[in-house]
Amino acid sequence: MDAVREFLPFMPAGAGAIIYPLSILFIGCMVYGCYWRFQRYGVSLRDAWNEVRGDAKTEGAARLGNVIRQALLQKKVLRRPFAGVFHGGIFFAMLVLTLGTMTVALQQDLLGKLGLTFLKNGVYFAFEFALDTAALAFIAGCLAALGRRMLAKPDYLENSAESYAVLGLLLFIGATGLLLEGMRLAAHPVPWGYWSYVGSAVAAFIPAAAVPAIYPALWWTHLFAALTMIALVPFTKLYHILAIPVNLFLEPVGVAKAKLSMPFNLMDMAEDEESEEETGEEEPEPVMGFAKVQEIDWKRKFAIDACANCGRCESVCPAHAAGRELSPRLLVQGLKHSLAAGVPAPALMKRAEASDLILDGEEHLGEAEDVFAEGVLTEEAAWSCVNCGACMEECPASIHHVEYLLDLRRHLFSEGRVKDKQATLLEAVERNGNPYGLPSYERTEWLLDKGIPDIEDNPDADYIYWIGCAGAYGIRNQEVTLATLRLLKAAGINFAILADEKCCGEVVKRLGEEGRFQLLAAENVAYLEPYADKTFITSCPHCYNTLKHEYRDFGLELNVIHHTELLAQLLKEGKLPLETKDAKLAHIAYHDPCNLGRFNGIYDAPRDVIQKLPGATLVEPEKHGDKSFCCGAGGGNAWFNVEEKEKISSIRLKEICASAHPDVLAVACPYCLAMFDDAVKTEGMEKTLAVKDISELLADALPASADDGANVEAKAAIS
Amino acid sequence: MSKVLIYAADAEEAKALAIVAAPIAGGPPAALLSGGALPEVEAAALAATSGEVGADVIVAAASKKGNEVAARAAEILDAGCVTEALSVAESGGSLTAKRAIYGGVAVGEFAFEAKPAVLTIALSALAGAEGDSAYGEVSATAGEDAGYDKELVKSEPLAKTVDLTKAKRIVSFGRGLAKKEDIGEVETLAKGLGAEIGCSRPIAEELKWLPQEHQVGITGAIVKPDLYIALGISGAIQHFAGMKDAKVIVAVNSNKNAPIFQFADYGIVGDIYEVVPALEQAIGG
Amino acid sequence: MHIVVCVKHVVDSTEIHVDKKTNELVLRGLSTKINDYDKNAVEEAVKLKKELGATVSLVTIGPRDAQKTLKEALAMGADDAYLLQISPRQQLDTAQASLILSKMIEKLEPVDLVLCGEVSEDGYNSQTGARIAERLHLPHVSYVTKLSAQDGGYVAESTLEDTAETLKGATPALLTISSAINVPRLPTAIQIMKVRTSRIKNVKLADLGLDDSVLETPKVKMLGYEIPEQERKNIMIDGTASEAAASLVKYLQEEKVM
Repeated sequence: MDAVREFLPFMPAGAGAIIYPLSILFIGCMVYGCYWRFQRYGVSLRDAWNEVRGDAKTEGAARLGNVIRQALLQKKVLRRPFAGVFHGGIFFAMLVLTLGTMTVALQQDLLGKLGLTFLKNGVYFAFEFALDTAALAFIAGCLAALGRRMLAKPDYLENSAESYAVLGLLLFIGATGLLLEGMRLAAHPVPWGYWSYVGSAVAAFIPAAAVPAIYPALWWTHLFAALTMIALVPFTKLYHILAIPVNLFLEPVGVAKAKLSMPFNLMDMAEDEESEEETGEEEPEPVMGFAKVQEIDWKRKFAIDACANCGRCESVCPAHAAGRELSPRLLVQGLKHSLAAGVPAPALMKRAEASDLILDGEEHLGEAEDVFAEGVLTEEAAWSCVNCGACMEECPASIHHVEYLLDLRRHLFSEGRVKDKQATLLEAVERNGNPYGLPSYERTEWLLDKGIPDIEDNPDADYIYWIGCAGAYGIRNQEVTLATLRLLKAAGINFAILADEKCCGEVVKRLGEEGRFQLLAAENVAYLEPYADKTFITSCPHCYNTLKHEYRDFGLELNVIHHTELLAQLLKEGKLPLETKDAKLAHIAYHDPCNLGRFNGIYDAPRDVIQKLPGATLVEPEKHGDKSFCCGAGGGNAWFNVEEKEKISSIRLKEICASAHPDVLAVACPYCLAMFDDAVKTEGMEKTLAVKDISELLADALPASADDGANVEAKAAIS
Repeated sequence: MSKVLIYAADAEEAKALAIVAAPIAGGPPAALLSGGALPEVEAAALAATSGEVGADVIVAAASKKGNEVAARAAEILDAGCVTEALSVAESGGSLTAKRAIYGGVAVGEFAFEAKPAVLTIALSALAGAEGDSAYGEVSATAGEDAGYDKELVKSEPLAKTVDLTKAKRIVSFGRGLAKKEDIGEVETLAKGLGAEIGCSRPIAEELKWLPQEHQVGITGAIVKPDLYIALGISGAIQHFAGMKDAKVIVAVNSNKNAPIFQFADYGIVGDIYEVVPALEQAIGG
Repeated sequence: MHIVVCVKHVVDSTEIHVDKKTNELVLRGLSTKINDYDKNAVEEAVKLKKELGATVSLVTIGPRDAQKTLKEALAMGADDAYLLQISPRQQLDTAQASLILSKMIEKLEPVDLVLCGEVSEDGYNSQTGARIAERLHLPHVSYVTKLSAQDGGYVAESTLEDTAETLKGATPALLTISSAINVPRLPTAIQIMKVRTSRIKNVKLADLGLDDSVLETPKVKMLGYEIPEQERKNIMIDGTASEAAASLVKYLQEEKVM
């Protein structure tokens, strides 16, 4: 006799049939809910569908791959081991249990009627085992989730009545389902019952006699609970089940990770202005960021709406850790509630008396003139973002927090609501070509005086060394420049510098003054175009990012490498012989710069260099690689102050020292160098920790004869 | 030689102006001391007095008030005016004046095309001027009363802790100083030298360890002491512009490549926490 | 209330430098911009515009390039601008500038307040405001650090070297604005670009009842300049801290500064 699934014991006939119309009803409710939610995005179904179809045509397969990796395989969710595992448990279990239920229905109501029984014996045993394991995982996951909320209470995880209700409902569905199986096995034991090992264990506690009376009631309860959950999806945080996979599909694949948006093109506008003068008609003002969330495009609204309030972004945000007024989570949640204006907002971000940002219920959404007036965030919060991208790296929903903040900055700029230091900074870049406000003629003079060739002197150079503002003007950073040049010379690299180099403009763009950035970039692009066939080496990851990615918007594709990439390659090729005797032993920790690591995936090259340094042992801080904790200088924050409780650089420095115990902190970015130099002074660690760029460490390891006469000063400068 | 009329706030200023004007005055110049009235009235009186005494040149101090009065008087007399002059001379019948141009990058020489001419002398050129300071005081000739509806409601002295522009010796510090508490060390050295305390911009503006009056630089005080000691100051151009006219510049910095050493007469590469106490010892001993 | 602000278009003073090879000042090919001190005056005027509903006019003498300065000031909130174009190589002394600006202001009467920056970055003369005031027979207050105005009068605080004065008076009057009074707003590049050039009205000398002779007859002319030699001894003192200190004290005693 075949072992098959007992279908609906103790239930009246027709109970099986009624599942379908009921399901249609509840699913219909869900669909209606999704449509209701869709109204928030301000786009017609047809337009949205056409756009998505267009995207699918160009890169549908790649995007689908992303959906599978992130949603199905829970790649980002697993970045947090504990929560990742239990959420994975809940997720897969739900998937398996749903498919399982559908399989039973398929067998019972379709294949069975056609005389085909596949769910029997071996297949059936495996099926039962899988489902029981899923049920166990599901319940364990829900309990773990509840335990986390109730006992661990992490501060980035918001607890509300809804979160408990939803988890409670899930737990209820899982528990009742398991109970039903237990009851069935208790009342109708079968020899293969042990395959349903969890159900069997439960069955041991159930008096068989009670089952026939209770089973139907519990069965209806379980059914309605499950269907209710489905119907409630678009009305609760469960919406993320549908929204996140879709949002993952909406995420463009062919764009560089840190690429910022280009809200308008100044060159097009210049033409408009000319035609305006002629026709006297005004062309519409370009949109400068957004004032209210209703203004942004539907895909970004969709993304905001997909936020599940998991709080991971907040947990890794350095600005938040420093006690600044910013929480990426509350930003998105605030925008989400603002989007749903009309739905009473339970909470908005506000700076509280106590140390943490609290949620403060206010219901004046929809009337205020912008998100700042609405209370979604403060202006200070908008400036507090260091653009490190840690939030986006963690976000399982693929929300781009930094981009919203950039657009908000653009809005603030268009209204002149900026800090004095920012205005000074922009004027300095515009007039002197650097953020320091130092004269432009001093930028490269000191290097040309040392005999470093300009591109005019060496037009056949293979490489152009892009010095960057810090490397040109910063006293400490000049030492890094000299060290790098020394290495290039020692390796016989054929390079030149650009005498009329100007700021790449990164800080202008990230502050939000897009117009000035484009004017500057256009000038730079015109200047650099003739050299586009050469490889650009830069010591600054911010310049790297801008030259490589942002200048593409202006039609310039440059081949850009960071100096650590080149140095790693040279070491591999044996072009940089190092002095090994008298090597001092040192534990060297490497701080992954945001712009090099997270933004561009360059983690190994700098480490390769460090590991080849004589006497060096590489030690890793706890937060390394794509989990690196920003030095605090990004997003223009090196140039102005915001309200904070502690310096981001100090927090990071202490963490590195506590987890890695280095003698030397190696950096690969001039901003990081400046920040940590300062933090070392603040923390009084000058005698115990040296902060050096990788160039300096490598140049120090060059044998004395490696430098030619012209660079004696360079060597002296670093030693 | 020209007939010079000095316009001065007080006798001391008049003496200094007389010294500076000596190269062009054929004998002790006439001097009109300020009546303390509103600049419009003072200017009218100055112009009238100038006509009365037949002056070719009016010389005033380039204080804020001095510039205002001189400029208005120049307009009344339809005369050319050069402010912030460092020196005056006469060559080939033409009156010339030298003054800093373009923020001090260069010193320009300016010639007056006609007389009368009006000049204000830079305060730094007046300080410590030595020479023949005789002048002959004249009383004011009342100028045209324009009947302006304007009054001085009140005048209060500015509460300032220090005026570095008048200091003869200054000990200045920058970011080389690690903690605010360490300013005590600098103060001890300054006391030993009879010097005032100055600082670089980050100390005053960002860290706010000292009030603004102590900041030396292009956005702070422009000083001209006999001795300027820069401790832990790297030597950014903006700071340099504020102290470049010091007679003797000493720099102490742990970084041998600090730009300040290029601008210094004497430089010590070392830890200021060691050098400063050593200096105190050497001075005291 | 009608406010006129005098605005100067200058060469970027931070970029002026000496060419090491020729030992000459590099003045050509430098970027030009609005005189930063005049931005404080424009900002103050725009504040009064917001407060009192005043209209703000700008007057400038400058080359055609000065249009960009005026566009920036218009983007800050000024209402209209008047430019008397001169050749980029034309030099004007303070007497000539004051004469022309005064005539331009006269043409815009009735005027309640004339605002000027405290000084210009390139000339550093600090005269033009006071001269215009005298020519237009206006009372003036200089180095204004705080201003409140209403129709008919003003109260201004002025900071001199050692004193702070408070003055009040009736309009019309001229005020030179200290850079300490405010932080001028920064219009975005887009906002500046969007200012139509047609908003800048060109004024000719003939419109002012003047002719070219005004440009040719300065009262003060620059004959030439010299680059002061930066002679510093650059003596580096070696040794331990105490040795160096002892040497330094000896040097300072020799220099007679101790």
